[in-house]
Amino acid sequence: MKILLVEDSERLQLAIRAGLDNSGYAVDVVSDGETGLTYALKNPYDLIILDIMLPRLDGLAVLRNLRQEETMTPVLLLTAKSSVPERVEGLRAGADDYLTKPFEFEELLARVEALVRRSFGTRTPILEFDTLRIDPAAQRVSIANREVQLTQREFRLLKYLAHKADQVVSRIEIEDHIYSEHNLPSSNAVDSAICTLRTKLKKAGCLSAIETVRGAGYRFSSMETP
Amino acid sequence: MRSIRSRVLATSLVCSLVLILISAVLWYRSAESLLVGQFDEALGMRAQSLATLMLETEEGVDLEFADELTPEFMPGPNAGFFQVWTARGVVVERSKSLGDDNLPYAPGSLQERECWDLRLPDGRNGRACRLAAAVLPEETAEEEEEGVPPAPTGLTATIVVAQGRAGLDHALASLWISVLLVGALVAFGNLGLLYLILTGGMTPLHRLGSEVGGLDPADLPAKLTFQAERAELQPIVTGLNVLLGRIRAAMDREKRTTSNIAHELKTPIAELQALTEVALKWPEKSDYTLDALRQSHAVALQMNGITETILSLAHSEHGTMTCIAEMIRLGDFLHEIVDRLDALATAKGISTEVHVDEGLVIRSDAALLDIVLSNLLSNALTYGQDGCTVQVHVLREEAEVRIEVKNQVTDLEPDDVAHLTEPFWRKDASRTGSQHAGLGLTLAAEVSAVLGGSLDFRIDKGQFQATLTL
Repeated sequence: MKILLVEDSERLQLAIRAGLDNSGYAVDVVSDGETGLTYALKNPYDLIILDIMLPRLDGLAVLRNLRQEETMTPVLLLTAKSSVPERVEGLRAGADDYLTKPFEFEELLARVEALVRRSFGTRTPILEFDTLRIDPAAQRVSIANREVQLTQREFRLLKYLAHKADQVVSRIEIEDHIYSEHNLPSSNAVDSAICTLRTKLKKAGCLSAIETVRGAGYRFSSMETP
Repeated sequence: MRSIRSRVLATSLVCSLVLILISAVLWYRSAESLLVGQFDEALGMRAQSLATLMLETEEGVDLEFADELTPEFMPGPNAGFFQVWTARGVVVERSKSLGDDNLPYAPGSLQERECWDLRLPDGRNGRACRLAAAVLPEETAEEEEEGVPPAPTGLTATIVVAQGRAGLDHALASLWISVLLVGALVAFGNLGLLYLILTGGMTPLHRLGSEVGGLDPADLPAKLTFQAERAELQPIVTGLNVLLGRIRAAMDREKRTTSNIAHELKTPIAELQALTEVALKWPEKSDYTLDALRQSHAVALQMNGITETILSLAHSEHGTMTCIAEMIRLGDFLHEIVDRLDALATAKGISTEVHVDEGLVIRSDAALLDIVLSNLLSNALTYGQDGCTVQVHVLREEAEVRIEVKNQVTDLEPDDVAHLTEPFWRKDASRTGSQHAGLGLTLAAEVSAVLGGSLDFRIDKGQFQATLTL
C-alpha cells in the first residue's frame, strides 16, 4: 500500500513516514499543496494524508482539485483545525476522514488501515484465505496457525495482493503500490520478491497462493493446502 | 441601586416642597400683613370715632360717650377696651369692660397711629391701637347753625383702643393650613405628573437597555438596531456603537490570537507526540530513535523560546519590565547584531548595509534595545526576499533618533500592517517554519514602548520598512 503524506512540518514528516513505513506502507512525502496535488494526480496512491494549512496551496484546495479531476483516492485530513465547522468543511470538500493534531500515532494508523480496507472493499481488519491469515496491524502472517517470517517488502507485497485477491495485478501496479519514490525497485525486483514470497509460503504449507498470469502479471487466489 | 427616576422624583419633590413652602410663607406673610392691617385699621377707626367725641370742658377734657351705643366696650367674653388720657397722662375715660384696669399708656405725636400686640386685661391675646388727637372746643349754637367747624383748642388726648385677636388668629391659622394643604397638593400632584412623564420619557431608554442587555457576546452586531427617537439618546447610541465596534475588534483579535496560540502550540505538541510514539513503538529502530530525540530536543527549545517571549510580553504589558539607561554607541551596537545574524543572512543570500554616524551615542537600555533591533533585523532576514539587501538607516532629528530597517518582501500587502504586531500573526496561514512563532514584532513593539519610543511599519511597492523612533 502506498500513501502520500502532504505535510509541511518536517518533524511530523519524519515521524509519520517512519511509523507508516514500519507498519508496512510505502510513503511518499511532500511539503506543500502544489506538489502534493501534482503527486496525487500523477500517482495511484492507496491513501493521501493531507494537512490543511499548507504553503502555496492549502489542503482543502488540493482536495477539491483532486475530486474535480475525479481522483477518488481516499483522503485523511490531518490538521490542527478542530472545530466542528472546520471538520464539516473538510469532509464536505471530499475527505474520507479527519484527524486533529495532536494525535496518537496508533489512532492515525488505525484510521489509515480502515480507509485502506474500505478502498479495497474489505470489511474485516484481518485478511483470511483458508488457512492463510494476514494481520496488517500486527504485520503478522500465519498459515495453519504457524507464523511465516516475511521481510517488510514481502509483507507489503502479500498484503497488496491479498487485498486484490482474485484480480490480476500487473508488475507496474505492484511497483506503484509497494515502493515509495525513495526506494524505487530495479527492473526485476517485483519478480524476485514474488519468487521469494512464493517459496516462503510454499514452505509454510501454502502451495499456490500467487499465480503468474502470463503477459499480465500476478493473481492472488484461494488456497490449496496439502 | 437608586434609579434616575427615583432620584429625579425625590429631588423634584424636595425642590417643589421647598419652593412651595417659601412661596406659602411669603404669601401668608403678605396675607397676614393685610389682615392685621385691616384689623388695625378697624381699631384706628374706633379710636378716631372716640377722638371725635372728645370736648374741652372747664374741668379739662371730657368724652361725650354713651355706653349703650357702644356695646362692644361693655364687659363680656369678647369685649373691646379703650382708655383716654390727657397729654399729661391723666385718665379721662375708660371703657366699662376695663373696670379698674388700665391699658398701657403710650403717648405719641398727634394723629400718629401706633398698633401693637398685647395681653388684654381679661387675659386674652389682643391688639391695641393708640391715637393722639386734638381736643375740640365745645361748639356754640351759632357755630352749629352756621355749620362752621370749631377751631382746635390746642389740647391733645391719647386714646388707646384694644380688641381681642382670637378671630384674627383663627383666620390666619385657617389661611396657613389652607396654604400648606394647597402647597402639598400641588407638590404631590406635580410629583405624580412628573412620574408619568418620566415613565413615558424613559421608555426609549428601557428599550435601549433591553437591546444592549440582550446582546449575545458570542455574536456581537456591528451596530445597535435601536433608533434614537430622543435627541438626548443619540450620543449614547453613537457611543455604544463605537464601543461595540471596539469590542468586536478586540474580540476578533483575541479569537485570532487564541486560535494562533492553539495552532502554534498544537503543532510542536503533535510533533513531539508523533516522534516519541513512533520511537516507543519501534524501539529497535535506533537511527529513527536518535533522530526523534534530536528533533524532540529542538521542539523543546522552540517551545521554551515561545514561552520566554510570552513571558517577556507579559512583563512589558504589566509594566514589570525595567529600563536601565546607559550610553550606547549605536554604530557598534548595530554591527554586533548584524554579525550575530550573519548565518541567517548567508543562508538566504541577503546582504545587510548599515548607514549610521559611527560616533552617534544614545542613552537607552542596551538589553531592551537589543531585543527590538534583533527582532527587526531577524524579521527582515527571515521574511526578506532571497538575495535582497537589508538596509539599516539611522537618522538623527533634534532630540529623536530614528532607526529604519528596510527589506524587499513578496507576500506582504499594505493591509497587513494592522496585523504585524498581533501576537502569533503570520502571513503564511500554514505557519510553515518552526523557528518563528509570530511574536517577534509584537515583542519589539511592546519593548519599544518600554524604552519610551515607538515602532511603526510601512509596506509600499514590495518594500517593508520598520521604523524605531527613540
